[in-house]
Parts: sequence; structure tokens; C-alpha cells
Amino acid sequence: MKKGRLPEEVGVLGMIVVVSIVFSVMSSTFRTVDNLQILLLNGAVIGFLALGQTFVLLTGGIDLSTGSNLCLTGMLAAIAMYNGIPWWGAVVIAVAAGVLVGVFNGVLVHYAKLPPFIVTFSTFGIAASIPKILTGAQSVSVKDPFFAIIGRGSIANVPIPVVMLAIAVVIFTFILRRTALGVHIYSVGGNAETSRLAGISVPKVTIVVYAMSGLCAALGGLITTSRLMVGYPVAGSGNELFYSIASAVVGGVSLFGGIGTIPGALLGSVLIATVSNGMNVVHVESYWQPLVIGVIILGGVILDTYRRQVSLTRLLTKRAPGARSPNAPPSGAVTATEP
Amino acid sequence: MMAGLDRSMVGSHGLSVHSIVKRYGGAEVLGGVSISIQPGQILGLVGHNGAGKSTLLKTISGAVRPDDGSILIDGTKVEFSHPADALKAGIATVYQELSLLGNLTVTQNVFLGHELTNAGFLRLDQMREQAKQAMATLNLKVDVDRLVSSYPVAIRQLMEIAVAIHRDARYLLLDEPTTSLEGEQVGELLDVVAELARERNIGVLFISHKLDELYRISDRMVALVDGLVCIDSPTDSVPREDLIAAIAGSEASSILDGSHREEPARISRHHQAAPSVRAVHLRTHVLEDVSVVAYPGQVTGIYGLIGSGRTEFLRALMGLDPIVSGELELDGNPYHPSSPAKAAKVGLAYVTEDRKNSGIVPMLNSWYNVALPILHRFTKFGVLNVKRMLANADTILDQLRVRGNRGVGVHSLSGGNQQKVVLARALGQTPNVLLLDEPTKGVDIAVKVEIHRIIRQLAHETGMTVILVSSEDEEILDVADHVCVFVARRCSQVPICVSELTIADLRQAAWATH
Repeated sequence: MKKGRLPEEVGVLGMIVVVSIVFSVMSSTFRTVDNLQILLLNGAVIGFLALGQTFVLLTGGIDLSTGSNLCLTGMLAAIAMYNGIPWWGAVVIAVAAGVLVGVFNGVLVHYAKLPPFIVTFSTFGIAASIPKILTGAQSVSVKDPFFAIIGRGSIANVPIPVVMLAIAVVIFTFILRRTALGVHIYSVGGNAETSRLAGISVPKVTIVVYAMSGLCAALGGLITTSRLMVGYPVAGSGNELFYSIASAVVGGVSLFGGIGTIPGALLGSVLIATVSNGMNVVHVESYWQPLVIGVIILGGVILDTYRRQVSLTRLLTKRAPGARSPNAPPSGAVTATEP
Repeated sequence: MMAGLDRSMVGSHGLSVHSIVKRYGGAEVLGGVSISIQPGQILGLVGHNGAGKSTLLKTISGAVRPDDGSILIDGTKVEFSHPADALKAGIATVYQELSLLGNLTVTQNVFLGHELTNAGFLRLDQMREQAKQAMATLNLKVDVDRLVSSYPVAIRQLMEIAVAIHRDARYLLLDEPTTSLEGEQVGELLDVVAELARERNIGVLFISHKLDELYRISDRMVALVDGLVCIDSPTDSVPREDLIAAIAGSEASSILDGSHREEPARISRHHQAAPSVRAVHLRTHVLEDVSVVAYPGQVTGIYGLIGSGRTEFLRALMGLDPIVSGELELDGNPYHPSSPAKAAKVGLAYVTEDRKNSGIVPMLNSWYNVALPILHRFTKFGVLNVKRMLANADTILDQLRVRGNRGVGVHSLSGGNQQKVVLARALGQTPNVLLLDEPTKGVDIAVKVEIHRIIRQLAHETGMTVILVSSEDEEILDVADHVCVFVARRCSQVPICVSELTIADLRQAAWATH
């Protein structure tokens, strides 16, 4: 697996280097340590969402509720502390809520046999509304100084959110590479039916991946609230969801399931964060950013599709019995969206 | 009591099935089959299309539950409700379709669903070692850390066997394992299977359509005919001619003596006409050497075993599979099909055998399904004249006597009516050449008879060229005027007039080896 994936990750790394050099030449501000800190700090939230999204995408699903979940969990933490609950209690509440939203998604996707797009599209709306209903769309300020450490603290000049993300990357990579669960996530995304016949619990895998995405959204929500020290009812309603999917796809995670890595998604989010930060620094109007990132996503998806077609034609010339219809969409052979 | 004891003594060793019966919706696919496989023995299983080979295999592998009969391992009765149960009992199965996951590594595939773990963590080194050993037992030199998709089909087929047997399988069931392989690769696979049986004392059930393979590796040969065992003897003692005669069912020839068929006069009627389709030494990535001629005003039947290249011939004509070499002529002019759209333009229409996936658009109603390829005929300045379209579609649907509500999604019609809608769409294109692939698959007898009548009418009364692919002997003999038999992706003989044929002749031709 390592051998097959490495080149693509190197490709993203190369793009990060090129983009960084270009912005460094264009702006002296971009090159500063302060800016690097800001870049990484902004990138950490997108990074968390992208990691969670990766788990879901690997099984052939998609999680559209991640931005709303970020808002919900961040607000729940703020409301909890506003009502006198200590900071660690607020953290527990936020994480539990985030995971619960994920489990809800996973259960509906598997047992109600609904398409992931529809299920998470609905929870996207539901999760976004709850905090506004609870607070009458008011923001809730947080006073607990310990809570501020999550988003504002740093260890040896490295912001705490970046440290948290680094730890998550290590743990998640380990899960995907070194546990049976990890292999099962890839196999369900490769072919859910084959996996079921091999004795794998497809419902367990499905629920776990959405729960992981919920957990990541909660961590993103905690970081966001802590940085501002305000629970903000429209947090996460901007480009967060868009950037999280973009990061994963650009990092080589296939939208058709079964292919992708955590380091890849991480590099993807670094690239997106770099582009976003660089454009701010060189004073490009902010409304240009989604356009540029949209173009980057298209590039990533075209690459992904092309990769599949190449291997499909190769299979055909070798007389694959399963590849009798070359005009079938390439995803047909590999998609395993668990209905 | 004594007799029963005796028999159980004989069958106490090895895997055996007794009086297995399996029915699908009233039709008996297996009518009481008993066979036994000894450790270290290769049992060849052979039979015509639909004789029940795959059903028998699925019964033993736990994928299908028999309606009656029993399965015994070393004299003990076992029951499988899931393939996993059979696997636990030491029965490993490799189905026709490749089932390894391309996006996982070889090691991950070997251990899929039963990973070796230590407190939840994978024991990677141990798994890698065992995977290497599993591959080594088949002399496969593969990197177990690489993705399965990076290996060619031939290697994947062998990997599949390695994965199947690595958990101490004592019996191995193989369903046509050589269909996707060619030349040398077939030989390699056969050697591997023979070695497994000899050196690891594994009992093998080997299903194949290729008699050469079976004679080469099997110790014992079982022939199924219409769900019953008709030969079960040591391979050396079964002459090839006897085997073919048994499979073809020589007594079947009396069922159809041709008396109820139409007068043979019709056959020569258009024979003087120039052929409208002529293929000479055609090769595609599947077809190896196919020569076929079809005349206007006649139904040309294409017959052969599954996988003999019948469907691929139609695909080549429609421009779906690129032609590697050989010549194609349409009405005497060179014809180079490059896409289905272009094939349609020169007057070809194609009804595929897969109604669900490439025949109907389930949510659209019957009228739209029929008019789909000819919408441009009812369009003026980009606006569709719905009234004219409906009237036109209705005319064709009436001709074919399609019953049921035409205004609702075609998926709500019966299978027979759906098939008529598909046929209606092809006819709506007013083709010169109509290609039909198993046009009566899954329809009831009454509709079948109707469709047969329609096909004959089209050819004999409108002068259309009809090429009919069918695995049903009666269909070929009843509908076609002459027939080309495909054997192992080849067809070279001059079309045979069906009035001279019996079912036994037809089957013998399909099983012929060259």
C-alpha cells in the first residue's frame, strides 16, 4: 500500500512547495514565522474536518454535516461553560455530541439504507439550527481561562491545535494501517458485498467512520470556540465543509471509496490552507478563494477519475471477465456506497 | 439397516452429497444429485448450459440451501447456512468472478475478515509471512505488500486460489477457473491445481466447459444432464465421444423431430440474395477467429456454450468492442463500426441480454422507452412533438401486443412485457439488421412463443436480417433458418441449415474440440 500511494503524496507536497515559493516571492509577510503560525492555526481546523471526512470517503460515503457539527459542538461547549460547567466537562459534552451526530448519520445510512448524501445533508441543516434555537442566534462568550489554552496556547512556539492535529494524524494513520478496523474500512469502500461475505460487519464500519467524522468536527468546534473565546452560532457555516472535502480529494482520497490515506488528506489540507493564507497575504479579495480552490478540486477529481480509467483499460486488454462493458462508468466496478 | 451402514462405510471418507434436490420457482435444477470427492482427487464436473453445475457447486459451498438431500464430510452430516460455515468445515470456493479487492494489498486480501491481531493491533509481520507462504504454495512470486489491482488477471486468478486454500482448506471448489486465462496461463493453473491435489491431499471439484482441461487433470468425471448425474466414472474409462454424446443427450433428438417446424421451403427462399452481414476471420480482444454470414430475410442463429464469444460478436458488430483484425462487410461494403451511435446510423439495432442494466430505463414509461433512440424524428426546431411521438410508439407497442399501463414506469410491467418494450425500441429504429441476444430470457412461455413469431415475421415478411444469439436449443431450432456454432471464441464452419439439425447435433457441435 505504501509503495502505491507514495508518488501522489509527493505530488501534493511538491505543489505545497511551489505555492509557498510563489507566495514568498510575492510577499515578504508570507515568509514570516508569525504568518506560518497563523497559517497552521487556520489549517488545523480544516485539517481535523478533512481527517474525519477521509474516514467517511474511504467507505464510499460523504459527510456534509461536518461544518454544522463543528458549530453545534463549539456552541454546546460555550453554553455549558456559561452555565457553570468546568472546561473539561464542556469538552466532554462537545465531543459526546459530535460523536452522537456521527453515529446518527451512520445508523441512518446503514439501517435506513439512505444515500449518505441525503442523510448528512439533513443533519447539516438540523445541526446548524440547534445552537441558534438554543441561544436565539446570540453568541455566547466564554470566561474560563483554562479553556483558552486549547485554541490559544502553544508548546515551544507550536500552537496547541497544531499539536493536537499532529497527534490525531499519528493515531488515525495507525488505526487505518495497523488495525483490522482500518483494513475493513478500505475493504467496505472497495466492495461492500465482498466484505460482507468475508465476515466483516459492514454496519459497524459504517457507524465508526461517521462517528470519527463527528469526533473530528467536535475537536474543530472546540478549537474554534477556544480561539475566539466566544461560541458563535454561525461558525462552520462558511467554507469549512467545502475545504474539508477539497483537502481530502486533493490529498488523493477517492470520492468513489477505497483509496486514500491520512497523510495524504493532511497534506491536502496544508495545501488548501497555504493557498487560502497566501491569497489573504497578497490581498486577493476573499471571494476569489473558493473559485481557486474549486479549480484545485476539479484538478484532483479529474486526476482520480483518470487514474481509474487507466487501470480499467489495462484490465480490459488483459481480458478481465468482470470488465465486459467498457462503456460502464468507471465507478461501477469499484464504488461501494453502502446504501 | 445393514445396507445403510455399508453405504456410510464406503462414503465415510471424503466429501459427499446425497440426493441433492434444488428447485427455483417450480423448475427443478437439481433432481437428486449424489457425488463424492476424495482427498487428493480431482473430480471434473461437466454439463451443458443450465445442467445445474453452478447450482451444485453453490450448494456445497453454502451459498445456496438445497431443498432436499444431505452433505457429508467423513461420514458426518453437515449443514451450511452461509458460505462461512462451509469455509469453517474446510471447503474453499473460487467463483467465476474475481472477488479479491483490488484496493487492498495481497496480505490484506489473504486475511480479510479474520485478521491476526494482538490486543486489537494487526500482527503485520506474522500476516505478511503467512501471506508469503500462501503465495509460495502456488509458486506465485508476488510482493504481498502490493495492491492486488497491480497484478494481471492471470495472477489474480491464482491468488484467488491461494487465498481460498490458505486456511487449511481440505476441499477446493473451482467454477470455470480458466475462462479469463489464455494459453500458457491455463496450463500453469492446471499444474497448480494438480499439485495441490497430489501434494497437499486436497480434494478438488473442477467445473469446466473445456474437455481438454478435464481430461488432462481430472481423476474422475461427472457429467450432469438436466440436473441428474448421467456419468460418474474414472476419467480414463470415459471415451470423449461417449461424454459428448451424454452431455448432448442423444435421446433428446427424438423430442424435436422437426415435424412441427415450418416447412423447410422458406430456407432457400432468400438464399440467392447477397449476404447483408459478412465477417471474415474477425478478432477482438475476446474473439479469436470468427467468420459468419447473415442474409436478408433470414434469421441467423448463433449458438454456443456460455463464454464462447456469442455476445462479443454482437458487441463487435455494434462497435462496442474494438476490432483487432479481420474484415467486416455490410451489404457488400466494408464496415468499420466505431460506436453504437454509428452502428445505429447504418441500420443496426441491438437488444442486449441484460434487460435490467442495458435494456430499459426503468423510471421512464413505455412510450419514452420506445422512442428514446428516435426522438430526433419527432423534433422540430428543438421542440418535441409529443403527440406524434406517442402515436408512433403506440403503433409499435400495439404491433407487439404490449399489455399493461404504458403511461407508468416500465419497471412496473411484467418481465415479458418489458422485454417486448425493449424489442419495440429496436424495431422503432427501423433497422436493416437486428441483433438479438437471448431475447426470451426470463419471459413466460406464452410471451416466448409470441416473440418467436414476431422474429420470424420480421425476417421473412419484411426482409430484415436477424442475428439471434441463444443458448436455448429449441429457440435456435424453432426460430433460426440457419445456425453458426461458436466454439471457444471461434466460428469457421459454413452456416448449417436448421432443418437438418437435431438438438443432439447442435450440442455436439458446441462441444466439439478442434
